[in-house]
Amino acid sequence: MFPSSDWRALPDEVLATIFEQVVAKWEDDQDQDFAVLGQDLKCFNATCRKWRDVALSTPRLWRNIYNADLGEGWHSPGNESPDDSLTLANGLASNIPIDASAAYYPFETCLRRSGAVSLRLYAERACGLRDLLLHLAESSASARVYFIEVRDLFRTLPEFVDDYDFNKTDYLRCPNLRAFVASGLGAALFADLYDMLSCHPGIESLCLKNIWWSWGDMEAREIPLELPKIRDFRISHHQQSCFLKTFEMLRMPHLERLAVAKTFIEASAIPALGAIVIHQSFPLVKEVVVVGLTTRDVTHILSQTPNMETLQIRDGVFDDYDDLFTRLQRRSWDEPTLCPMLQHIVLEKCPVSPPVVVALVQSRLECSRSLSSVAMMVEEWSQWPEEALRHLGALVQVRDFVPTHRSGE
Amino acid sequence: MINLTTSDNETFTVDKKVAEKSVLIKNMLEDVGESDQAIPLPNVTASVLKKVLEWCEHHKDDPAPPENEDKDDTRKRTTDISEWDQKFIAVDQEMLFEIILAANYLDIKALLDVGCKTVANMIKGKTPEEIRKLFNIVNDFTPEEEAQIKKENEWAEDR
Repeated sequence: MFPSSDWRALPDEVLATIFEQVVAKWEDDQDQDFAVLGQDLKCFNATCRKWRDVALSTPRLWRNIYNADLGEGWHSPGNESPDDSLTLANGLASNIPIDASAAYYPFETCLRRSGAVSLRLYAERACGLRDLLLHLAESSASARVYFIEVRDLFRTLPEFVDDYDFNKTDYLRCPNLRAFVASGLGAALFADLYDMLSCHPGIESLCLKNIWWSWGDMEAREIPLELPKIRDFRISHHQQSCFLKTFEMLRMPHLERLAVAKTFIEASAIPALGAIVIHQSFPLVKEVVVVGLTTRDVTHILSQTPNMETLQIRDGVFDDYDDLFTRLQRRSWDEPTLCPMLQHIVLEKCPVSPPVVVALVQSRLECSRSLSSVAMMVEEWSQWPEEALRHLGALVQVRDFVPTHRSGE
Repeated sequence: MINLTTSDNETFTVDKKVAEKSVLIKNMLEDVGESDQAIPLPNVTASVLKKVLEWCEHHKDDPAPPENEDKDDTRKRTTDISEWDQKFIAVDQEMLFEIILAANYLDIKALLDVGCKTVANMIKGKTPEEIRKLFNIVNDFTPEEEAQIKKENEWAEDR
């Protein structure tokens, strides 16, 4: 029989899993404040000896490597000891001020403790990324990088100027890079960013967040960029013109998952905006996530994803979603059915009336293209009339939807 | 149906499909073949097994988790806990601890994940002192070690 709850009696591998979940939750968090991650890691280290031993021998906890642009480029003291966190911190502090977001373990510490696991790089502004990549190349750890997020790049990227010993192909030093996230990008950076992405052989996931500016240099381009490796594309917080230009210029023929979010838009401003029109088809896309879009936007997107099986609609704006769901019904005349392969619908805060959802499911059933499931949050199901819910349950699997992380959407 | 006997000598008769959510039990059944003999579970009490079987019953039709899942890749994953599991795991700390140990012993990965995520949620954002108090953990560092850790971590202090 087990003893009473002596938490120190947890097997090391279970404790390590708990710690990994804490870090995974941070990785899923939209804000991803490194000071918060630093505090959690500090807790693992400082609670008791067993926790510390487990934390220090769990490489995945240390895989998030962060570097801020500290103003004059990053450098480390040359003769630090193996456990040199403080030395390095003091070294930095004595030269240049560290901002609040730098309250995190230094990259050498994380690199050493992360052993051989794959790495996630985060860099504020351009210098941070350049220095990270150069240092990782020196340590032969570049091959471990599978994820890069670059934040707050409103300034011109200095490394793209010829004077700097760094260029776009430096990204190729990370041959196993699979996912790239760019947030807060300024106008002049798009062209270089996309050139880098298009020449990298393995990036499968691209996420563009908080990109408020127009396309800058890309506006002058006429030839679209081919991104044949991209399987997962998420784009959010763009201005209307950015959405249009992005889908005009980025060709992603092998895309499998598309997420579009326009969460910054005030509902009252919507009628004045143009729709998201996409002039390319995504025949391989199986899953579409739309957040905060008008039904006109959603319809345009769905018309380009003919084989989509899973549709997730969240944060529906004030609009006629009943009309959208009516369009998704089987068409009994010559007009082709929108999304004929649709299997799963996930709704969160989507203002569609229950009878229209039931009618959609019923119509699909009648034409032998029945849906598999409809999911909604428990509190939203509870607002459905009992009869409609019972009717729906007789036609399709009714599931509870638990909102997952929204990073990048 | 198969029989499971707990450490406090209570026997549960359960559907084989439900019991086989446990990799340990599944492997034992494969090793010994069909038998009327109860499978002894010396590390699990009746109250905990009852709770574990409740979870297994609810999740008996869930697809098996992929083997050798690579947590590093970029595939979609989730750190969230489903509504039903949240209600299931809303138990006192001692029961939570024992469910985690039982899930680990019985090798029920998905249940272990639920337990670990729940504890992770309890830990997140807390100070070492708050965690010690929450889980009744003794600070077993020597003063010298504590000074060293403080020194090592002091630049990650709140600003």
